[in-house]
Amino acid sequence: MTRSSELSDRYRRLLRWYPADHRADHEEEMLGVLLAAARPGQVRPALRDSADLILGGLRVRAAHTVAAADGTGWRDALAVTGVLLPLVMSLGAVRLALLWRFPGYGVSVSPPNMAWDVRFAQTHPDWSDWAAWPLVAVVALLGARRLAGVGAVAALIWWAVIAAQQYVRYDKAGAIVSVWWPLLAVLAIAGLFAGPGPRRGLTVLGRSKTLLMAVGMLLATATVTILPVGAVGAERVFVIRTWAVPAAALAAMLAACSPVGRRLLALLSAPATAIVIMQETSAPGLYPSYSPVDPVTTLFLMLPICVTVFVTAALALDPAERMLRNPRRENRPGRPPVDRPTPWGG
Amino acid sequence: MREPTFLILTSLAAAPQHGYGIMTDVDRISGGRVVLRAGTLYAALDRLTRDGLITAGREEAVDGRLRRYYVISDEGKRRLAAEVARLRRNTEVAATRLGLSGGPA
Repeated sequence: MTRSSELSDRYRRLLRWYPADHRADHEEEMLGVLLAAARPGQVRPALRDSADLILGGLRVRAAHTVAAADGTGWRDALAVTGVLLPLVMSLGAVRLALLWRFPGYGVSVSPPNMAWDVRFAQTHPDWSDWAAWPLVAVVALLGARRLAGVGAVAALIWWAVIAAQQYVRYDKAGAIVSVWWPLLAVLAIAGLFAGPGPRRGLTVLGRSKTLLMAVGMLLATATVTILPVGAVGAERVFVIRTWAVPAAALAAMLAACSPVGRRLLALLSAPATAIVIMQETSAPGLYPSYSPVDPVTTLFLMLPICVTVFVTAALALDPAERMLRNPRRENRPGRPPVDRPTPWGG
Repeated sequence: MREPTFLILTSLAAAPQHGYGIMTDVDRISGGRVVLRAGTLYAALDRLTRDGLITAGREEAVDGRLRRYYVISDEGKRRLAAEVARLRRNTEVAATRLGLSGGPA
């Protein structure tokens, strides 16, 4: 092997940091530039050149990912979160207000067997953070997305203030146990400020599906959080595994039939993971304060896991779709097929 | 506009250039102060092409290697001219305040 071809091979290995379509267009051209700029007799890329190529590759990948998001349904999925999640939060606010006013089934059971949000409803010191969400949903549906976004941010900040007081003063577990809903609030804020906005979300999803999905999501979270009532140990695990998990899997399969639905599922994977972790770490005491794991430890373990789940789902989605659509073309060099999103139901 | 972008557009403003030509020209324009490496250069060319400020022009093979020439677009010229005007205004104000251009000190 000559020195030139040795250097050329090493540069080619570094150029693998670039996306396939960029390599197809520019690999030979970049190699020519790199070899022209090399010192006489050079056999290895300089450290600064290697770092520059790696960073350049990552920058091009990131730019292509953002550009590709315009055409693969991510923006529409974000728009759907902008209309769907404020509705879910609004329905959740109504539900918790009813639980607080008519505690009913939650009162007679002792705290370890009490549903999370029943206890949350009884011990939550202030309802003003939830009260903003119906207003946010109405303003978002009227088209004033920025104003709705500001309202959502204010509700989230106000929740943090209330939860911090609750944590410091009397109920550590109560402050942390419902942390999945602020994650929904973060997604709602992203949907209100970024992307095409909630009115586009309403167009993509349709009015009836929007309402149906909002009620469905509320029932799904309510079911999981109600399950501990009166159900202990193996019985609780049995109920979750035989009813809640198949129902969630069925809903996910239905949503996964469309590109926008799959991206919505990826976005919702973070709060869904938070619910699952909270459920699992609460066993066998049914409430995190009775778990051997401290609530704050649970929180700091949970957040990176939620982010990792979302990032993995988001990064794996496009390549997985391309492979499923045309597995043989995926292995060929050259520009990958362009995604053409179909509407929600397509 | 960041300096590498400004220098790349300046390099292409005179005539179409290939990648290595842009690297050496930027080195010359900046008096050796800005050294564009291939990774930085092609990330910038990729972005400028997507933004419509430059286009890929003719190709030729030199010593068995592909060489592609880049051309500044009308939009690229307009953006570069706007940046030159902005820099000139700032420079004139700075020079005037420093008493370097005969203005009031």
